[in-house]
Amino acid sequence: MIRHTLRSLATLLFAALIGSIVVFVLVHMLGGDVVTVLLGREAAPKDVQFMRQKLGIDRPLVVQYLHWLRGVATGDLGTSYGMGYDIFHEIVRRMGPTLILTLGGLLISIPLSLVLGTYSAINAKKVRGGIVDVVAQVGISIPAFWAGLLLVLVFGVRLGWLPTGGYVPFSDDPLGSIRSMILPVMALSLGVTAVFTRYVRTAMIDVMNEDFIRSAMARGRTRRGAALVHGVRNASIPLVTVAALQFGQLIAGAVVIENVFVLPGIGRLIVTATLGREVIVVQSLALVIMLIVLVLNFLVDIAYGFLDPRIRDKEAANA
Amino acid sequence: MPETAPRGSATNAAAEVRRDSRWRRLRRLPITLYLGGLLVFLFVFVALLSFVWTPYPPNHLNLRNRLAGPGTPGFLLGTDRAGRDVVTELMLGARNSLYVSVVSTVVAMVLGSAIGLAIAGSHRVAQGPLTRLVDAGLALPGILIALVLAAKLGAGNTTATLAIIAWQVPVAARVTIGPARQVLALDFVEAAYGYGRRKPYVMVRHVLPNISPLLIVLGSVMFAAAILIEAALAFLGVGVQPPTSSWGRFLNETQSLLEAAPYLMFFPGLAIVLTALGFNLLGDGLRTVLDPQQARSGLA
Amino acid sequence: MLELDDLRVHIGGHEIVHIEHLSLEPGSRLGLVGESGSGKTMTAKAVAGLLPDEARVSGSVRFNGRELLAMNDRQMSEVRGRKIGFVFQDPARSLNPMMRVGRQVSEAIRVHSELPRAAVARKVVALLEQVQLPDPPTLMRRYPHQLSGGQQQRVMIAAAIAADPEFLIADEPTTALDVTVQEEILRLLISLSEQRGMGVLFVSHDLGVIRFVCDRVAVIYGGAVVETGRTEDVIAAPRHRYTAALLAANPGMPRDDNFRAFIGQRLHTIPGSVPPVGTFPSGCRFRNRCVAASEACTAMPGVLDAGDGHRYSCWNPVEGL
Repeated sequence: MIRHTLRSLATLLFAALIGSIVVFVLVHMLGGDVVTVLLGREAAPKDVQFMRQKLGIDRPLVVQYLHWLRGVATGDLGTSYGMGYDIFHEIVRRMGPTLILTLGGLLISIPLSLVLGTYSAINAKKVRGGIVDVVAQVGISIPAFWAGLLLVLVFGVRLGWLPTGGYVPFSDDPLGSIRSMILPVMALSLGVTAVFTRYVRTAMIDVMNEDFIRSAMARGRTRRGAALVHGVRNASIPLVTVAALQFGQLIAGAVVIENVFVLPGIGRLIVTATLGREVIVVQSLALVIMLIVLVLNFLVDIAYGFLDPRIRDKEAANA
Repeated sequence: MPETAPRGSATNAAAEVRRDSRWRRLRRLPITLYLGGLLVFLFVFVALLSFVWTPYPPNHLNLRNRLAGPGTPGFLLGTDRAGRDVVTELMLGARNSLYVSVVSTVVAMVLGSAIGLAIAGSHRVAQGPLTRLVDAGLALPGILIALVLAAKLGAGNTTATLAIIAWQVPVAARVTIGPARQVLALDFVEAAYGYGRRKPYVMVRHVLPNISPLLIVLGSVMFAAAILIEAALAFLGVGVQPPTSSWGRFLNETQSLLEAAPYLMFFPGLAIVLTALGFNLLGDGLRTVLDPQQARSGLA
Repeated sequence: MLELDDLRVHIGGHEIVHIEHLSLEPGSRLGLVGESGSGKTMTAKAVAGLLPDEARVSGSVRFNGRELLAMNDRQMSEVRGRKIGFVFQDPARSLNPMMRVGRQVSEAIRVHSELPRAAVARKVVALLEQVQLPDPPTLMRRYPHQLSGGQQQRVMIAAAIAADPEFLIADEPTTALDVTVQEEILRLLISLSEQRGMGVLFVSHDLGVIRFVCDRVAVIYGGAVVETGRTEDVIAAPRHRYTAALLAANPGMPRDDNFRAFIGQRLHTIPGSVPPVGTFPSGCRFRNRCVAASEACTAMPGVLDAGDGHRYSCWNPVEGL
């Protein structure tokens, strides 16, 4: 178990290192000068020099990179040039809506896709199982932002049941806060549920072909009983591994959805900063989001080790 | 099969049997293949047609027919706030979608599968860490790369294309590694080494052809992803800029008219869904045909 | 108690199994022997309703007078485990790797009865003792991969007999095991059958193993029973050419009860191999591999009686010794 954890941790750190280098290299080596972006082409050389010093980009790249990493670790990411906010505090302040959105999305899509995918797998040879799969295919093909727009049109504009956008902090108005998040969470869940349903279906169909399902039936389980008692348990192993890959998609979806529903989260912050060409803000935000995703992956990896008795034993034997 | 043919007119009968079996084989192909193929064909056809014909010239403003509803004479799907014909915009949007998706998918496929092949053929000790590196790339949210690029380079088709490539290369690499490794373990590859063939030759002449069905399926699914990402980036404003038309940007621009003219957001969205669905279904159907072993767990 | 009549199994348009008649008395042990691809496993699975989805079954399988083929999945699940137990070939794959041994052994009890937890646990311990596994209370909390192949198969047997079935189907239960372990498992099956008066349908490709375990044997080729009778009679005086060939492939087929001499006699010296599904010749299905094939064999042979329940279907039978 310790070995497994350590290896996952090493992967986490390794990926974080690679990710930070990729972001840093993209920002500092590709295309034009950051200062030109900020001040325009006509800026006086003196201003440019001052700006370079202020941003610290007159120093060697390696020094800049290390300085930046230290900033991420200590929470000192500098201030936004265009808007004047402290970047670190702004990120913390905006974490709320994003967390509610993504966690809400997971809470809805994981159970739902487990049910749908299992149903589709048990009935794989029948029309009704195929229909679930086709619907999932359609769901995968619907962009999250369009799903959001449709939901706003129907439930916000036409029926007037729910707000069309904006965010109400939970501490101000609990009911209003929940109401404001229903449509965004639904829009985000749609695509994730569709993708995950297909994963569950594939994993379950594979498991249902295993010999131990047949043995369970030989002991008196019905096909469905065997699927529920043995299938779901065993399909969870391959599912956990693909789930990790879905966090990235979830974040991408959250960025788009926050912009559809005007939620003051991290996704909206990074897009606003991007459109304002605030390269420094985008760089740090990208790294922070990346770290969140990697930590989630790490946790899933650990859970995976706990889930499978074979891995637990292999670790114990090796330790 | 020949034994079912009457002895008399052997050649004719054999030809008939052959035609019959071909027809049967066509009918046995999965419906997803036909449906997906049809949608993809329509998409490509419309995109190419836009080069020679659109109902109105690009960016033509019908100032007297602004916000005309669908079905208005001359404007099948209506016009937007500036008086642009929606059908024209959709056709031009298809063109941009096709352009970005083709470039990004081809580049990402070539790069990704080359990386995958290289990893599969690398030394056994290096394979584990390299595969984990690809996994790490897979776990990183591609949209972040897109936004960093956009902040640095500015919004536009180039940014979108580069972003999609960065997003999809790890996918292509990851999918290639396993099957390529399986092929490398086969006897005839050993034999090729026995003839004195070098690794790059074996990779290109033996491994690549054997995993090409997989790559075709992968390409189709990646195309669908590219369509969706292009639309999302354009919607966020970091994709293609005016005056070029794009489905995603059209949706962004008409977002404020949700109440007054909901039809404006309906048709571009539908276009995105149908196109992405087309490529997804095509990929699914191709998998059933090209890779029956794996497809048994797909649509029956 | 078990009666098969005109049982046919089709897969992908090919007839895999066609058994005219086969029956098994309570408490007796019937062997089903044939090469791989002969349809013996499909026959066993058809009885338990565990055929793959694409298989189509027709005919009749009666168990204590009840028609099993007419039952749906729910009704069959009442029979499986409770009336008919099943032991499979590969214990490593047939046990759920993610479920503790105890829960798999107790599964049939929990499915078929409402016993309280403590009673179930006691019963599991008793079962594990019956199949001669050491330290049941510890063992039931282990996972399958922590056991040896022989232990896994004992667990499978304990799980199969947990709800006290009257009848056990054992499909090549020892093929995946070492020779020494094989003997122990076979002896265990025999003693359980005798203690409980439990009928056994024993499927194997190994006539030696069959002779060690079974009172009666049915030799199966191309999905059909070609010869059946008391094991001693069939082995002493085979009539069908296929049975004779099987025996000829076991030159040292012994006549004593020393197990070592029985097993491990593989059947690979019959000319050719079982043809792929759908390519059997018309008439007698064995005729293209048979040393005594004649013009008559292009027609289907009828069932002949050699007395004492010894029946066979062959145009040119081996004459009595």
